[in-house]
Amino acid sequence: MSDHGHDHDHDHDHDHGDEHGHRHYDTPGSRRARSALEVRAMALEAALVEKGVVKTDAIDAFTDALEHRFGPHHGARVVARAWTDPDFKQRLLDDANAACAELGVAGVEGNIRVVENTDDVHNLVVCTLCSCYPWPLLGLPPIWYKSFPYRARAVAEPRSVLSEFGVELDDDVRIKVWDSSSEVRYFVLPARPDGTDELSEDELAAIIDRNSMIGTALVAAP
Amino acid sequence: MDGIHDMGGMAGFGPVDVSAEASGHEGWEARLQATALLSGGMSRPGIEAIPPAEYLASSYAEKWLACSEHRLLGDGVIEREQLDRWRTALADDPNRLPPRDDAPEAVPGLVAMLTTTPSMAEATESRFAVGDRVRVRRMRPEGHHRCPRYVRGAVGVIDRIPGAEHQPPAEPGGDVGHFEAVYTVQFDSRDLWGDQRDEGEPPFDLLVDLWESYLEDP
Repeated sequence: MSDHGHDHDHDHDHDHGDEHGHRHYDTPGSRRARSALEVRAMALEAALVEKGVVKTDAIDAFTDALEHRFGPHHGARVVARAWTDPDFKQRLLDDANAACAELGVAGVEGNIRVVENTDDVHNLVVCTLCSCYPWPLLGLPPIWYKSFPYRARAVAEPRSVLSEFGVELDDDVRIKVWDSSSEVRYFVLPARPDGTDELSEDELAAIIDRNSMIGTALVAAP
Repeated sequence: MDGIHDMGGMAGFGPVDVSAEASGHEGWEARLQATALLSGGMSRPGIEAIPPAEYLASSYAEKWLACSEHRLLGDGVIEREQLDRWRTALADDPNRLPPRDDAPEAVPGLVAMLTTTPSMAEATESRFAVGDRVRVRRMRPEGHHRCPRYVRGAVGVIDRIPGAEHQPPAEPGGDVGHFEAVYTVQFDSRDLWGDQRDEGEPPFDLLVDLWESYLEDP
């Protein structure tokens, strides 16, 4: 495997011939050595495939969905559309699943409720019990989202947590913390920054980062 | 189970490592997640059954692995000998990969499932209405559940009724529980943590999704 072995452009990753689906594992040509944990994960796959329990191309397809079909670029498209189309924004707030489907965004872990940041309200999303997260809109969660400090503290001292992310809110902004304890997945519609009136929808999507859709960042004008 | 996973409000973990931006799922970890979900090895009750000290000492991927190995070995789906043999082979030979076995006819159906948003049933029967005040029951459930400890006994207001769901299975591989309304309940932070203004935390709102049987009249 070449030094771009973890490149997302895996269609070209054929150094292993029909083994290309195993691109996720490290071989001598890749960037780092296999860890003991990675060997354990590979052994689990090997045992399951050997027993016929799971098919390799099913694992390939599932992994591809997690890594490429889902992701924050979709969330950013949804936000940019909401900022530029008031009717869409209303539909998004009323029935997020239907509105997201208009943009072709759908999937498991995607039963979405959108919560809107305004001058008076700031929303923050957490899952204290595990790591629930809106996969289709944001992909898999960052490590900090799954970390013990974030899970423990976001619900008890949100301003302290936000300040660690560099977010300082005025005292009169009411924070709403959403703990994702059922199958509903929460997604923050960040506030559109001043000075972006001239930007196109695509240009807006480019300035929206993942954390702003979780609530741990504010979107800044470019 | 009121286990270590129920972390809301705990202290002592220190600051959030905000630089940990990666998903940690690139490459093999995403593949592990897919493998664990496809094989049925992964479940929330299984993760929560990991002993507390091990839970705290394990990375996210390690918990998924431990949960899956335990379940799949316990159910006889795979064998200890297989895992040991493959671990040795894969550690000894850096060119070695797991065997390949495809079933391409099944892939489109899987992709369709993954890219379809699961619909939540409408709550046709609900004991409480939006705006009602409710109290979270005091309880000590033995099996898996989704009622965080930090809201028990507290009074909140129903913000929305997103739908109805079965209660999750109490045990790994168990049957789903009672089908009932799920409520988004809003709490004032002072009813959970007291007044924290002196600590730089003005009152805020907490919204938690709770099954009907977790709730009672205030």
